[in-house]
Amino acid sequence: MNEELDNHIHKLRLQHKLSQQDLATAIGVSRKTISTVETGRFTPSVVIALKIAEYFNVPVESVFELKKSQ
Amino acid sequence: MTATQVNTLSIAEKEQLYLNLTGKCSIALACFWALLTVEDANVFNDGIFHWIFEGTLLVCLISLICFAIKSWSYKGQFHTKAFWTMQFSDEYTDYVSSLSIRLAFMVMSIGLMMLVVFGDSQWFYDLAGENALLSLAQIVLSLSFLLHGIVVLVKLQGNDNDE
Repeated sequence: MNEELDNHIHKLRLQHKLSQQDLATAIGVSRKTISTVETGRFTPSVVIALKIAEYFNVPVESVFELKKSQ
Repeated sequence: MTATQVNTLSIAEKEQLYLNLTGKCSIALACFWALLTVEDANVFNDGIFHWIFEGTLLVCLISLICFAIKSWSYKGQFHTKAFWTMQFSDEYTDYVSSLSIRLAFMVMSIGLMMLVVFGDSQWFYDLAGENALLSLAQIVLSLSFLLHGIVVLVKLQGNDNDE
């Protein structure tokens, strides 16, 4: 059984009407970091996960979750 | 991008641009080195191919100098350790940097190990000829620089539409 990291950054960004660049500037990373995390091509560190969650003022589990697939 | 525009960027964006430039530098260096190796082999001695070859060599050298000067201009724009050791504060940039260096190191190690093992064998000299060790070491270096540059450019140029 494989476990993959799923995220809701795109949904949260749309809710807050933010661009990837806005979010990247707010948490001090490059836009490429946000875009690759958002599309699942790059797994971020706990620090970035916590920064994103803190920025949206939600628990980290609301931004990232382990998706169990067969 | 002008120096004023670069100054307005965040450290993460500057690091990414710097890594991109080092990738281009690596490719230019790899091509330059590979062409020098071919030149040493005296493949194109005369005729129009000789001038095309020399022109390509010159273009590679000029590109290499331009990219090196441009990347040097990023010195002092972010942490000095990141500039020299390619260990960046931006996570994705650091991931791309580590991946490219790791792959280049693997190619270099395998290539040089083969040279060390077979380098003094007679059949190796018979097959590769004079100055074989030097030429093959140059080819191994070219390949590792080329791989480093390609990995950096591909990973940083990927499709990432901002919505």
